[in-house]
Amino acid sequence: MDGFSVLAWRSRLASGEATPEDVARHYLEAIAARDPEIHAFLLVREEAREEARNLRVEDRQTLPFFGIPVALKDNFLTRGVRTTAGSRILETYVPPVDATAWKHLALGGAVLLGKTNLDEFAMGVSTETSAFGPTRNPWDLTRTAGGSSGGSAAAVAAGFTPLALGSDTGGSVRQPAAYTGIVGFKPTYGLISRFGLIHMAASLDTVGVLANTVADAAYTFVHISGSDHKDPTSFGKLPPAFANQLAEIQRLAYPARVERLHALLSRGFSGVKVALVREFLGDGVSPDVRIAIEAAARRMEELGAHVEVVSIPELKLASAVYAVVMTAEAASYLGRFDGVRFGLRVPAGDVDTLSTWTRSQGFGWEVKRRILFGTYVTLSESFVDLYERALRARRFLAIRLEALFADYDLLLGPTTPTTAPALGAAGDLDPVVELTQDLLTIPANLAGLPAVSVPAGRGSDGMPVGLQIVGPRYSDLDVLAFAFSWEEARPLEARPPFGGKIMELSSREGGNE
Amino acid sequence: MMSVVRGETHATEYEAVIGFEVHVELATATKLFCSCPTTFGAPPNAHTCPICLGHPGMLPLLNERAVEYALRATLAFGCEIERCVRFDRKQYFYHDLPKAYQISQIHAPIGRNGSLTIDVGGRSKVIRIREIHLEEDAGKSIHLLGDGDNATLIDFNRSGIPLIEIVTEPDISSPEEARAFLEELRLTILYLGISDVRMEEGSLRADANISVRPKGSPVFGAKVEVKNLNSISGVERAVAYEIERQISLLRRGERVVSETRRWDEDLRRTFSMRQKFGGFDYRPIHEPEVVPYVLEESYIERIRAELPELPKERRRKFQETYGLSAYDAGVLTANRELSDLFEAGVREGAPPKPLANWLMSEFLGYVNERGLAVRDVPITPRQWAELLALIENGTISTNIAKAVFQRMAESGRDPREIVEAEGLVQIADPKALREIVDRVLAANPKSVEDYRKGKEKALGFLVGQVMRETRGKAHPELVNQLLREALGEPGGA
Repeated sequence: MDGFSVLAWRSRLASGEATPEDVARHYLEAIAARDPEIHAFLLVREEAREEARNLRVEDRQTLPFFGIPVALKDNFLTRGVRTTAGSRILETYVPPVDATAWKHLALGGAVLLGKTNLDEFAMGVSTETSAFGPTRNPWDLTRTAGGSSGGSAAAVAAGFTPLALGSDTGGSVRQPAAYTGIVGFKPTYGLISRFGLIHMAASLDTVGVLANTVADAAYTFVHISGSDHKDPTSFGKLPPAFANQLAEIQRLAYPARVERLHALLSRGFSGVKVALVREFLGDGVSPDVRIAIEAAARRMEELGAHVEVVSIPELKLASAVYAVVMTAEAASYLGRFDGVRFGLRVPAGDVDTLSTWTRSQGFGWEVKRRILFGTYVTLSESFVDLYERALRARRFLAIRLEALFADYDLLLGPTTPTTAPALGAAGDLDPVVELTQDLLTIPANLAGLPAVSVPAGRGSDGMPVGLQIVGPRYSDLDVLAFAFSWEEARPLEARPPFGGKIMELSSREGGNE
Repeated sequence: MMSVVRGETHATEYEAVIGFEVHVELATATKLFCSCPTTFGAPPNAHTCPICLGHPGMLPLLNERAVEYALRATLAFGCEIERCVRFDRKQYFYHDLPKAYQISQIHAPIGRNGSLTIDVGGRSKVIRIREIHLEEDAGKSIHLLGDGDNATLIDFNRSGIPLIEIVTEPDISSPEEARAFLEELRLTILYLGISDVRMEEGSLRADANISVRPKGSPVFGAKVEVKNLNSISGVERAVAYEIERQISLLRRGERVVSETRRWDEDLRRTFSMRQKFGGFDYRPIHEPEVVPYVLEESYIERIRAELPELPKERRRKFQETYGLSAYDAGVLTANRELSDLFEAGVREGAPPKPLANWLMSEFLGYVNERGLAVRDVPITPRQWAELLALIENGTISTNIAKAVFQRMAESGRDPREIVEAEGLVQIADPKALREIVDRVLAANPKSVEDYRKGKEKALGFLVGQVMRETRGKAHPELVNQLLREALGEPGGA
């Protein structure tokens, strides 16, 4: 798998062993061969080959993303390239600007391979609410790849791209990463500009990175993070030490950046205090997952980490708080899709009917459900009881977690309660499992904390299990360093097999090895 | 019971209870959350961008100048300041509201509990201001009605223009007070330099909430909101009409319906727009995309220190320091530039009262006749002081001074230069004048005779002749005196 990591490609591209065009061709061929059954992409850009060819050879040593292919979840705006958010209402929308996160990569020399599938407006956990059909899990085509960044996760796991961006509002990067056996990183809220990301719930949304390795995720995170004058929520006052560290790495070009980052990540487990959260391993978590996570914790302890089981009963608030805040903000955000200025317009005799018809035909069921829920919680009758109370509970939970980080460096648990479920099962999920899913990933969003999902082993069904590591705000590099150490330490069998097949394909056809 | 009710509704004396909601467009160069220009009168949708059109993926970028302007207003009206600047979303669907919500300050208006003092009929009255909040404007819809082919056109140029909404307590009780309130509010805002407050361009929009009740009753009557008020005299007329309408309804034993009415300036009456059904549910949520921030004490103090003198203080100063009448002080301060000019002239040494007279009569006449603004006339305060000094020391007569003023206004030249170049210096030398007087007397024996017979009017004619001979430069009083001396007393000899 490492052979197909961003950093491995980067070194081959720098030495001239591979050309950007080779790399683009390699991935476009893989997509053409296998994406029809997986459906990770909503749009594949054949132009990527030409754009790769047009990169200037003299930049190959220095540009940090020279020739690296990237897939973007289709809720990132791409200027001149259709962006749908997985919805009929934006089926023909061609945005006038680029999302800042993508712009950083493009300026660094990255090549856009295509736009990936997602749950409509990122609302869902299996990419099945996409108006354009579901994405399948590359490990097992009868299973979901997760959601809402299911397309991005499947694309990386299937070897269609070494790198993808997703968005994480309640776990939408980490959960599909866990289901597809890759790395999914969600940074501290506001560290990566959300300008050009079609929101779901502005106070929870983050831009996340999906990659094969922790080092790739860290390398990408460092490159695309930082304040952006177009996104005032990215203006957070960073702790000076962290800000300096970020700025210092950002100043470095390839390959100095890789070296510096490796030095930062290779800290090992020694002396790290970890809280294994009891509520993360409770009812609803399958035995397979529990065994994998406990085994991982034991291994970390053997290697010098200090692991304690800790209970955080307040976590039970998370799902309810999330449901209220997320739907209130989402319903509010979606009001702009009225058929007047952009996107779908269903013609009618008067403007009110035009908006009504456009919205009823343009939005799918899950989106409508959340609009109704979000509208309900903000009605004046329920405002104080639901919306305001949820905001208070959110602050309470954030304060509780912050207090915990006074004693522990990181929190540990599974990313998902089970391995990837069968497609079509989302509606039949055991409600306890469903709530547990929320409970695992949502606290990081409610409190704005950095969190990563890394492969931790396999279930008895052979499907990947994800380990989640959560840290305090602005501990992004510590979270990644810990995940990196785990990646180095974890048993080899935990690595996904699917990429291996692609590697053979590549050796045969690409001739880069 | 019925008789009690009837007794109340048929009361002979009623009082009006009026409150205002005033929207003021802030004169920032760019919109509240994007960098689109705010200039009035651009072609439809010329001043729009993905942010103010509500495109997905865009984020609002708060214009801090707008916050500063709002802060100036809250300080000027003596409000308590909300130190944390944050916003909420006022959500409703309307096709000219791009995001389907207006970013506003519902839960934490920047200012609360202020006041504005007005003077009506020589009495002062305090109008309490409940709150001042910042918000963005919506776009404008134009509904075209054709033959079965209706269309709605939308202009989003105004979408996102920064506004402050000033909400009063219902402290106003007459059309005159309504007028005085709006005039004073408008003037204060003009002095603050935060809006051009042009009602006809919509940069000041007032809605009046009007109810009447039997005098002394503690209960409010049904409230009627009157919109579409686009001049201050229109407000006064609309309020008067509406009070009259409501009272006559009550006198007839009918009920006032709580509703929104539109003022028609041409027909001079209000029309029902829509009835109110218990208020609209805006379902406000906290605005998650605009990061709240705290106004530092030092920043507030700086803005406070930079506040200009407000009309009320200036009026008082003009009376107390410069000895002007209340009327003169009112006229001068009604225009901030004019009052600035007056003060600058006084600082340059012009005597206050004559300067005030000159500014109010000659100067304002000149400006109004030509449709100019004060700043369009190139006369400097120093030149004003000089002109008045020339009159004071007798170099030119008042009449000549009027001509000199005209030349100054047109050319911007110094008065002394004009007077010298055109030989306008007053002839105040008795010797030189006596010769002319003698010549005029010799040439007009008939008038001389008339005067001696007691016709005082003849003297005026002779004065005029002397002035003509001197092309207006003769010192008028001296001419008078010399003529009388030469002629002796009327009726004498």
